[in-house]
Amino acid sequence: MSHILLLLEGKENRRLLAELLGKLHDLSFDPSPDAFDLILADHEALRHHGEFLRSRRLAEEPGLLPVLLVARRRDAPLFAGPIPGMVDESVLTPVEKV
Amino acid sequence: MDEILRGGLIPRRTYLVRGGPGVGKTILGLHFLDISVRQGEAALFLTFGESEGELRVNARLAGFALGDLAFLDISPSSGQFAEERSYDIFPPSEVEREPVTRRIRETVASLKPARIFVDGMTQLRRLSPNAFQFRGEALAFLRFLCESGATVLFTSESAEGEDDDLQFIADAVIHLELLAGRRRLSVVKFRGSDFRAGYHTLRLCDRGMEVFPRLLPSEFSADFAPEPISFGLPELDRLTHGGLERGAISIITGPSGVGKSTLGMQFVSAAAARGERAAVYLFEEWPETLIRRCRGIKIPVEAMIESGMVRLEHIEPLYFTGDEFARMVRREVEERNTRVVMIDSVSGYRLSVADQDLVGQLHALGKYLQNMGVAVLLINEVERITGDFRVTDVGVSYVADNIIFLRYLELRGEMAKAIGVLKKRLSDFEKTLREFAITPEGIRIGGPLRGLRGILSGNPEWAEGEPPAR
Repeated sequence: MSHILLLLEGKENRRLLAELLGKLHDLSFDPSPDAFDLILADHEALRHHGEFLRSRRLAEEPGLLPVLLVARRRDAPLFAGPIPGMVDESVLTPVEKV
Repeated sequence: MDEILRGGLIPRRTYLVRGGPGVGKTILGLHFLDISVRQGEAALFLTFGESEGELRVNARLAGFALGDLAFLDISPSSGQFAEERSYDIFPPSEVEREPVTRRIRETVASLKPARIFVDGMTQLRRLSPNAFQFRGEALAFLRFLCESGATVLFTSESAEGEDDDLQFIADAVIHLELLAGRRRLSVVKFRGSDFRAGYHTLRLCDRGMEVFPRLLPSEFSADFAPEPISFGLPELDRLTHGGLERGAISIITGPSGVGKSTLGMQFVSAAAARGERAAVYLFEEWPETLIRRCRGIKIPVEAMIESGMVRLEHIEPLYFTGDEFARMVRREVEERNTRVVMIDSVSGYRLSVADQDLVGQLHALGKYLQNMGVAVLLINEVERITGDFRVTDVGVSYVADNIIFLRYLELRGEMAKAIGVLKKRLSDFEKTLREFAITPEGIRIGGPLRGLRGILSGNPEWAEGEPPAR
């Protein structure tokens, strides 16, 4: 079971994502020094917790702490790719459940 | 509606009511459910649009008691607008479909409604990922409701072409429209049943909705002898060879002020005097004015109104449609045994059916009255005072069995009036014209105007020299 940090400030998005992922993974919702396998963050969290994300990623080096940005599809032109030092990949919403 | 649908809805089927905002879809649904409520059956109002609270208030305002009607409110709540309830991580079809369908399944299973009205079916589209899946899901949803034992009416507020899928799915499609401030209804499909095609007037009122089916004359008949009815004036009866027949449409035509309405009222009063009820529809004049005019020439219309033999009704032309007027006339004939109907005038009636086919509507109403054995008088005004003769200005003369015309003439250097018969389908008639005058003693008909030529031109000349002495 992986440990995932859901840094989403959209409450309903966080609840729905937690409902889906919580069945298979161990979830946390607040920045903490715990060890994580993956961080999912939205724009607002990125803005508020940018320093935390950078420092956690640096602390994991030479290993990798992947950060996925949950971005609106309409914002894709701005956030489709990685943001050096902070975001590795973007997930564009809405996401189809598989 | 039952008349239009030839007996009503077939149970356990699905019916689509479509139309833009404000046409009356929800009111029609409330009528549909109201029948179950009155019969003590379970009925369900499933709303995707307005909230239950709003619907209850609006239903009460429209005159519905609601009783034990059950509501299932799936409309968006105000909380969904607030930040804490909004989401975009998954599409609505992934998040909301399952809880919505579960609520519907549970409610239908526990209530077992005989009738279900689904208001705002198109809102379900947002719960389907694409149009193809929506069609399948809508079909499955409606089948589920029918298989539970319910007859289902559902609404779509899509514009033209956007709800084709729902139209294909439904067993019947009822289209409501609002055009130039007037509502109308048409049935465009009804699997397994005939229906009355065409547009029918719809009116929202304090009792909900009233539907006025387009009159279909062939559906009505009565036994009657097409005997002539006297004018009550021997000279007029001679001119017309006995009067105007029952079940005949007669046009009295002529220019303004020549005496058309007075002549019609003479016929009406003669009928009433024999005990035959007459109804006069005044599109241009108020009853008080006509009563005063009749009083001035000794036509006792007041007494006849009091005795119930004559009804004068002012019709506000821009308020009623042709269908509504036809319903009014039908009630007179079928419920009060009215034997003579006078419409004054064709031009006023034309205003009523401004958005429809004048000749077709007048033809249908006339034919209906004919089939019911009613003598019909159409008062028609032509614009030209003198000059070239025209029977009517609106092309309705073909519906007439009888045409009586009144003319202004210049005769012996004085203004005079003449009356003549142009057409009588059921009998012969006098081919000459007679002088026509309205006097304080009533209508006076002179002898035949023989020896004149060019009468229809309005400027007659004596065919052979000097006029005969008067």
